[in-house]
Amino acid sequence: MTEPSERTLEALRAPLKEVAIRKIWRGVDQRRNTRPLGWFGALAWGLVGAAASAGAIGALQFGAGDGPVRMPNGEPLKALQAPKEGARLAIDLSDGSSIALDPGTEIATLTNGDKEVAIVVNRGHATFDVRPNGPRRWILTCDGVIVDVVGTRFELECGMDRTRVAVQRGLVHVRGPGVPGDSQDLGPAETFLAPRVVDDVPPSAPPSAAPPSAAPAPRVPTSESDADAAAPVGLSASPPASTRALPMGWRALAAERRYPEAYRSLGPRGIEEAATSADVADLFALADVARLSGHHAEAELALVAIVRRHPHDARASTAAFTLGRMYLGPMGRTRDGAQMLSRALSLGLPAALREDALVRLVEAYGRAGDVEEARRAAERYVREYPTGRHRATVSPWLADAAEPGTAP
Amino acid sequence: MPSLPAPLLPDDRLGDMPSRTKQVARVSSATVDRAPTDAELVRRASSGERWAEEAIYRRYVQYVASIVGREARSSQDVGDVIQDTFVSAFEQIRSLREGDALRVWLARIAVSRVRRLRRWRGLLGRLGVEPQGDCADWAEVPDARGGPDIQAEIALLDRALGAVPSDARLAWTLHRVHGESLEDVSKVLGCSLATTKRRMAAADAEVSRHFGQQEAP
Repeated sequence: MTEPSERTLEALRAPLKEVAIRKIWRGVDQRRNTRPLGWFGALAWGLVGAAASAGAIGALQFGAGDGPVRMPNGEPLKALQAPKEGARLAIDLSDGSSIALDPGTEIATLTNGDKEVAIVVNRGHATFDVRPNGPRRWILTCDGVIVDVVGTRFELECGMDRTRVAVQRGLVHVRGPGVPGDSQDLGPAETFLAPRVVDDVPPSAPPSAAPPSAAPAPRVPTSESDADAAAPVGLSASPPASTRALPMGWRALAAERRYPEAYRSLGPRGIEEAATSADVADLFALADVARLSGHHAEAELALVAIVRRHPHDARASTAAFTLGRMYLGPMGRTRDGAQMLSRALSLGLPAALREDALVRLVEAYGRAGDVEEARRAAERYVREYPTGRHRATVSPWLADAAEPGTAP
Repeated sequence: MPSLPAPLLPDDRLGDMPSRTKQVARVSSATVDRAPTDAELVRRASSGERWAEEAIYRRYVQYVASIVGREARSSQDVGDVIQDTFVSAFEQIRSLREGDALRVWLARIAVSRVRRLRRWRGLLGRLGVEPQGDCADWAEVPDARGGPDIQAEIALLDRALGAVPSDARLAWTLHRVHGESLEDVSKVLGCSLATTKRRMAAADAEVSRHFGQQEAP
């Protein structure tokens, strides 16, 4: 290796995640809308500001918080399922936006709060009219395609064979693993089309699945913040059941590093079921979703599956390394951590990670109380990296630095 | 029972990094009817259509962030420089006659903002307000992506490029990371082609030296 890999260069090409992109844009937008003021203007705005502050205090006294977007019946926007026959289901929302669902269309919210509304369209054809310059970021997702909404009117069709986004007014930003170049901007009268993502999970139910007679598990649970919200009157009382093997959009959410939402969208035991037949790439993605949403036991499932089922894959060593770090860190299983780090090294961990793995191995054996193994690992480190940057850290474990059987 | 006063390695930044950086493309083809070109976006933004400004920002924010990320001291500085770059670009966009040159034009503005930041830092350093010099690294770029292996390579690359002057780092980033031609790199940095080539050679040599040393023993 005499130069950085293409994956590294690719990571450097896109260093920002969506939250940062949004935040910086707000700054740009505000500065574009701000004109320099003369002293008279500053005085006038000072008076206006004072009046606004008084108004805000009054509003706080009366408890006028914004909260989630609500439907006409006062309930937070949650799950909607249009009847399979009849007219479109049109809903006006509390923030001035509106949603219209064609017959048979199902949507569900992933988040609904002061600053963000995230909706998954499970199937059908929905038209969204989002109020421009509103306080919330609107995100729609359908089958691997994520749509970021600036104030606009657009259609989102989640069909059996394709996903279609058509903008009628304003601008949307379409992104996700199914989008060429990872993202596209759509202006008025522009349309984006993508063939439907086909999950590689076999149609037969895994052994742990519910019996055939049982109702299918909800595939798109709502956010925790909505858990106490009552079901909307006259609408679907529970999140609609998906007709697909796996919920859609988890990969897109994971690609956007929206791990808690991706985890929720997989549903109960979703990772366990998906891991039974996923390939290495998907197992890594599932492990990330679980690990970075705080579900370490499920991350362990996915990573162990890589190490056991794909030991000859070049990525198996990285999976073992990640697992070892997880054991040593949040899971507190030092001996397992030591074993897994040894495994990572024996599987041929990339050179860039090898030094870190060795010093962690010393740490793992040390914390597990295995002085001899810690010493051997320290000697191995010094042998492989005589001038390594962690030399001073491992030195206390070397044979000439401590009496046998004693800790440094 | 041996005990360590503290973990040998502090909790690193890799803990919240995904294990891979790129989703496997699961859709073989997708189409956008008439995606707006740079020239069209510039024309629309010049005529006051605000959505076109946001579209330009969306299209190039990662590009600008990648250029300024290594040169800024902190994530706050990175955000400020990106913001300055786009505000300045939108204020001057009517002066951009060739809309197709938008990408290089934005890079020039970004580099000028980076240089301004560096001068300001140097002034503060001389006043004893803030340490002088370049001490930022790519690992400090907000939300840098990648699993542990990618992060390790980024750290190595960062050490390599830390050994060359800022303009050589910028040249390397523009040419090797973004594939800009050496002629365009020269335009962005405001120097001759020969100077650009010398800077590239210096940066390439450091990168090769560091990555060559990293081979497993």
